[in-house]
Amino acid sequence: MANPASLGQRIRALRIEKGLKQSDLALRAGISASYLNLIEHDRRRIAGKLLNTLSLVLGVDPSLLSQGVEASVVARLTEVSQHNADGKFQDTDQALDIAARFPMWADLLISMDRKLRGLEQQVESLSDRLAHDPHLATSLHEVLTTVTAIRSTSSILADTDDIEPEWQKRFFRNINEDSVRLAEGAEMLVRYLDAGSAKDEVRSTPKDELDSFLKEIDYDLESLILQPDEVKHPVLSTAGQKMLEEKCDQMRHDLSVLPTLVLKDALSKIGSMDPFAISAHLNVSVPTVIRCLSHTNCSDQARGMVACDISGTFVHRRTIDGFHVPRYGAGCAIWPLFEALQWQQRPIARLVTHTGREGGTFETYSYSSVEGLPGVDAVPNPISYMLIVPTKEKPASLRLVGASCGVCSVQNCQHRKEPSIIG
Amino acid sequence: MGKSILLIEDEANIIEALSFVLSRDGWTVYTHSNGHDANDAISARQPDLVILDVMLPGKSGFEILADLRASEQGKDLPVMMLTARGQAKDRDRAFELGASQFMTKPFINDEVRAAVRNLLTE
Repeated sequence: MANPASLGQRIRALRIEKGLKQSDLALRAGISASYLNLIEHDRRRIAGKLLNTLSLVLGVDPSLLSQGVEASVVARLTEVSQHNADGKFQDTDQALDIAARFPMWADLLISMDRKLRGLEQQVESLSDRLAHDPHLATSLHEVLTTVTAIRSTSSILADTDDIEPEWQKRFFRNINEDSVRLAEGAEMLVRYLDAGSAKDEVRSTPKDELDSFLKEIDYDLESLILQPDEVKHPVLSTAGQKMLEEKCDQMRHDLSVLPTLVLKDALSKIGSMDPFAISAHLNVSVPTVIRCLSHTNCSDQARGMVACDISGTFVHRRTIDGFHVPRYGAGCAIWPLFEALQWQQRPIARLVTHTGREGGTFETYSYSSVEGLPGVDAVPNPISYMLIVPTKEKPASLRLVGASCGVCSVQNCQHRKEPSIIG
Repeated sequence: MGKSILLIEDEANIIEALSFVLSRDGWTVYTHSNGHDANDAISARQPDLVILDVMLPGKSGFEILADLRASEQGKDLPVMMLTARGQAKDRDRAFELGASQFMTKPFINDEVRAAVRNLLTE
């Protein structure tokens, strides 16, 4: 069939091709011939159930008829409904209906949803910082305290008519001192927040510095080790540099056990990023496989990784879109990462869906173990790893996980530690 | 001599300002500027009201209040909490621990004066 420009023209062309009269098609589709006539002349826009019925009668796939409506718009509208209505409206036909009949409204909905997601991501990030960033909390406390002193003192000077000259002088001096402190505190705070908004990263601790640097080099520690001249030299504090060197030392050891060429070959043979299968195939420890998958240029496939010690402190991470890992504080207790801590040396593969605004569905591979030989009476410190790989698979039963309780929208979660600020 | 207030706060200029306004209202104001021996200071001064900052060096205002309420001498003593942390959970925690009043910084002098008057004339 030729591909006429409009939906009506396509229906008409198909009907004629099938040798059907308007009245025949209308009867079979359960509508009047005059209504079908309006549809064929594009004077009525249709979608959803009627579009499906006409497609069925004409013996074509509905998408063939509706190809005038961009599939990406329908997909985005479906996402909008999923994100904003807790999945109550998952009917693709309805999205198609809206996209076909009200294209400008559809664009507006998509645009507003995009803005909403951006804003919510900012709230998530700022809330994370406000709740757990000691530098920000201290700065804000300092500013509020100084403002309090100035307000209280200036109020005395303004409201007290018979104030003694000695007290007056003293209060003026206090206000002067506090105004200098306030100016410095405010300047620091603005500088700090500016740094955050400009780069969406805050380098306030050596760990932050290292995280930012690893992100800049796409987590490719191998290239940093093997081709240091070709990788941008990091500007890190002494503590940050030391942390980077420790990571590089571990990577050197990992690469001696599992060269990237060998890993690439295994990935090709196994056909997935399953670290358990790779570990069994190559007889290399699971943590080594996960670290090599995370910190070498072994694949173009998106993947994330997070690792924590027995206290739940994150010790490694490779960020991935759609699976937010909080910078400070605790993560979500339902992450398989923590489940693995309870079952050392037991491979745990779980499909999870992240509840964040940009959240997606991921295959996660978690494993914890104590590496090396701890000394006698030493406190064991197992490290738990979770490799996070995006998947299009839609599991029958979802495990919903979040970033952290403060920014999670899941109601009645038995693992909730604090109220959410996003309702 | 009027009733006495012990102001436990680590910011010197806030101490001066509050001491000034409360003294002019006729109250006797004692001050203390750290957390770790604040409960000893309360025992020593035996004030009629404690104004207690939350973030103090050595021991937080919440801990001081909890210890005070656990003691025979301090279980009924009026305590007004002052804090730059105005979150609902801090307010809830203060009242759960037995605070009589909760005020966030920056405060207005007249509000503090009114609250003190209420607590000391109840």
